[in-house]
Formats: sequence, structure tokens, C-alpha cells
Amino acid sequence: MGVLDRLGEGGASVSDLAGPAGMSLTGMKKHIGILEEAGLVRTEKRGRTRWCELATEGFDEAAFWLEEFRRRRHEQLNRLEEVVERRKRERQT
Amino acid sequence: MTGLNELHKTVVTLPADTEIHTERIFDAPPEVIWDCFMDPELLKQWLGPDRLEMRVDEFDARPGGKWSYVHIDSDGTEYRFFGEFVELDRPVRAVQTFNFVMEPQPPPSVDELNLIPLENDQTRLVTKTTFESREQRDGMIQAGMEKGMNEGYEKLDSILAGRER
Repeated sequence: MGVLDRLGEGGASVSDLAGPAGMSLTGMKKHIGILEEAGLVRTEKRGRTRWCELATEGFDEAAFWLEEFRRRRHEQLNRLEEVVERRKRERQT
Repeated sequence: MTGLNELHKTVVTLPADTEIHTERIFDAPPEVIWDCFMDPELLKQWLGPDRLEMRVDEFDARPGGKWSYVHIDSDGTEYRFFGEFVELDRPVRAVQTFNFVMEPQPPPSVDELNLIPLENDQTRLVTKTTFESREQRDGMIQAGMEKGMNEGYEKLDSILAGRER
């Protein structure tokens, strides 16, 4: 199971995550660091461990970008379709 | 034209970290679609965001030939794009490089256009854009978001002003 899938079920410490993922503590720390930089994971120090949670707003933002791209591309291809229709009619006459 | 848009949904996917794929079916044979991409007079009728004027400055549609065009905002701001045709196999496949002019100039992305003939004179259009890095790809999507959002706000403005869009 991926780290993000695991965190989707709830928060966990870095060492909770490392074991099941078959990674060293250092490796997992690095991995979490990358996810944190990407805005997908949020961490905080709790006693002697680092606690990790999904940063849901990061996912919302990513999904929003893609949705906007999709919408724009769709609009553009709708216009292409109109030009295609006109072109087809011109060819027939 | 009824229901055409329902049938002809655009499918956008991100199959790899540096790629954007789009797919769409059109009710016309590949030759017609090809001309809409490769004839600048037709291209400027549909390419680009809503309400931006398009001016084609260069369009030498043969391998190694250059193209460049601008999208012009109502306030006169110009967004310039340029690139080079790499492969042109009418009406099947086209490959070209694509740049959006900005400082500093990022490396070009590579656009592939594939037109697959279907039954009943339909065509499946498949585009694949490959970027240098994931960062660059996400930047492209982000840029689309900004534009799209502004367009959305403009439409909202019109609605609030009680006008037709």
C-alpha cells in the first residue's frame, strides 16, 4: 500500500509508515519530505516522532487545475467541431 | 447539432509525469480535421482561449518549417507561441515543437497529433504533449487554470450585469 493510501485512512508517524512500506526510516523521511514540499502531506513534531497527515487542500488544488485544463481544452475542441462542420458543408456544396 | 457535445466528450489524462493526453471523437473524416489544424485560416477560427484574437505570423507546414502566432487580449497584450514542424503525414500524424514565449524561455514541449479513422466517417483525435519535466507540465496546467478562472469571472460579470454571454 502506498504512503498516500495509508495516510488516506488516517494520520501516522514516519516509523509507522516506514515498516509496512519496506523502507528505512531515513528513506521514508526523505519521501515524506518530497510529499510535503508538493503540498500533499502535512507533518508536525509530536514528542520524539514526526506525525504525518494528508494535506487535503493540496489534492483539491491539483484536481482543480486539471479540471480547468480539461474544461478549456474541451471548449477549444468544441470550436474545432464547429469549424469542422462548416468545412464539411462547404465541401458538400 | 443536438447532443453532439454529449457524445463528443474530451478525455484528458496524465499517463506519465511529463505528459498530457487528450482524446476526442469528431463527425468528420481525418482529412477535414487535418486541414483545421494545418490551414492557418481555419486554425485561427478555433484555437486558443475564448475572446482572444488570434494572428498567425508564420506557418510553414512542412518538416523543419516554423510556425508562430499570437493571441491578443482586448487590452492589446500579446501572448506569443512558436515552434517547428517535425513530422507531417497528412491525414494521420503530425509532430511539432511548442513554445510559449516567456522569460526565461523554458525548453519546448513536443505536441503529437494522431488522427484515427473510425466507421461512419468519424475520427478519433488523440493528442500527446510531452514536457521536459513534471514541473513544466504542471506549470502548463496551472497557467490554464488562471486563464480559465479569469474567463469564468468574466462570464460571471456578464451574468451579474444581466447580459447574455
